[in-house]
Amino acid sequence: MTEAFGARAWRTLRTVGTLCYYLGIVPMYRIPTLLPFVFATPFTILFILYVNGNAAAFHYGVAGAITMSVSQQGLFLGADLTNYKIEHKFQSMVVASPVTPVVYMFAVALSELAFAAPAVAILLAVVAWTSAGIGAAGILQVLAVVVMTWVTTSSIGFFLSTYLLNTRTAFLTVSFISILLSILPPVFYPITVIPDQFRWLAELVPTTHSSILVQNAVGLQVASYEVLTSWVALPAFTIAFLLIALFKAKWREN
Amino acid sequence: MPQSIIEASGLVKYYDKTKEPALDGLELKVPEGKIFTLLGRNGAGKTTFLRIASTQLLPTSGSVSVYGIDAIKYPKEVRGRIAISPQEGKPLWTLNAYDHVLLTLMMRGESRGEASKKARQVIDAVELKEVEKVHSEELSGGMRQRILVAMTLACDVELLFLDEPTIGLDPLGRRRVWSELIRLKEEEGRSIVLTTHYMDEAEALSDELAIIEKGKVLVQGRPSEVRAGHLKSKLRIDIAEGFTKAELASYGRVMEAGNLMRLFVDQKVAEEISKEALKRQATISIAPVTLDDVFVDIVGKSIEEDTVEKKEPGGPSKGGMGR
Repeated sequence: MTEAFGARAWRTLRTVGTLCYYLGIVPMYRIPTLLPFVFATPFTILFILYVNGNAAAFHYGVAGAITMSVSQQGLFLGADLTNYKIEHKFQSMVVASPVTPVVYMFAVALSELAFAAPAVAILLAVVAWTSAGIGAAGILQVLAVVVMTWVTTSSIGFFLSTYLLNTRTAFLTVSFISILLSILPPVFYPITVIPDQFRWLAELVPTTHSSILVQNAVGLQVASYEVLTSWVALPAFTIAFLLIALFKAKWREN
Repeated sequence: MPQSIIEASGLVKYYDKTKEPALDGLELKVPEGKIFTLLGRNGAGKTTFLRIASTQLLPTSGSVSVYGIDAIKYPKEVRGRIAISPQEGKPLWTLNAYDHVLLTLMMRGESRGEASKKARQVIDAVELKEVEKVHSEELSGGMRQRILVAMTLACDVELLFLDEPTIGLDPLGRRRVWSELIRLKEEEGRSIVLTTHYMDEAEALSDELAIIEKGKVLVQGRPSEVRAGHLKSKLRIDIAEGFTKAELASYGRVMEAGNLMRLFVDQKVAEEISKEALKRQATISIAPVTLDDVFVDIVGKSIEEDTVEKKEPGGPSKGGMGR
């Protein structure tokens, strides 16, 4: 029984590693010019904040760029999976195989994270360079937020991909949701900018909490009750969206 | 009587309730250890059946079992025993042929060593060796199609589904794939279900075939049985000029094929028409009937019958008047 479980676990790891390597790592090193596309939007926003000359806004911008780099890649999972399903018919081969939807989602999401990793590393270096520095606890906090944001947005992306029927719609939908998750809510700016009576709206967006926690980790001023709320809300969103992806995604078409 | 590996019963599939069903009560049994071919026009229901049997699509109603397992209720039990090459797939642009086969095998749980060995074999078998390290985006359409087929043929499973596997391949490439399919069946005992529009392919490969039209099986059997049983005439005459359609109609049903008029006749009638053609100095050609002729005849008759039924919607067999 234990052996069978061990063998199964090893096979699952091999599946995840294989899909992640061939769908994420190989394209990245064979065509490194793809990477700037991943960085383009968050770094452009950061650039605007930098030339604007407002140091505080720039620091919030760095925190926002970390959140956006990860959330954008999570959402792009939806567009990429739709592409694999509709254009390449690769998902047909996966469905008619022992690979489960959870393993497929996790593996391809990991490949997307591989694309986002250089951007996050550069942004952490920017944090270290432009602020008093970020401690080990801060780095751990950022990594925890990165993982939760990645799971949340990847779940959204996977769920969407199982319903989207063409690639063009997929890329447009994902770009629109990316704006809803990363540009409009307080990701690149402090939540205090939003009038009190509308803050609850911002708090309905998972990336608001990601950004608040990153802002807190890199030493920006955030009210402690906001940090506490985000520590509760972000894991809750993560679990909720993961459950939606696992139980409501349409693996076999009908 | 060989055991059936796939049994479909009353299979119905509507993609849109307001339109005609893609499958309309399909009944089909696929024998084990054979190459089974599905023939049919575009939209006849071949791919829909393949997708349901390979656990990718749910039917509207009906049942399908694969190796005796209910493929609708227990898809996971089926998935480890099958692999599919989908229609009109595309390889992933940054990967080469070798990567694709390795990805498929390791994704299914094989070790790198074993996967690599199998990848080399299958790449050799479908003649991709010379381009095995070239990114798929730089390959021709035919080479890309070979990659998709190689990904499926490499899988160590009992049942392979191949949806138009040789589309876009040159004649030599097609024959290489045929040889590999026959080898997999004969040496490894695999069962293969494929769809094709190439009748020569169906003749060359199939142990058994079924012709599907509008989601129903019109005929099923060995190619020789289908040929003998559904077109009594043994000869086909193509006539380009020198005869009118009305004249030819007295010998049998005349079908128009491009600029030609085509008749299916026995030897006696063929001799009669040849003599008359000689007198008139008309050009005709006589050849034995092929599966292609049988297909056109069977599907053509089905379409004609359907047209007649639609023209007479108030007939007694349609449930009486006033509906």
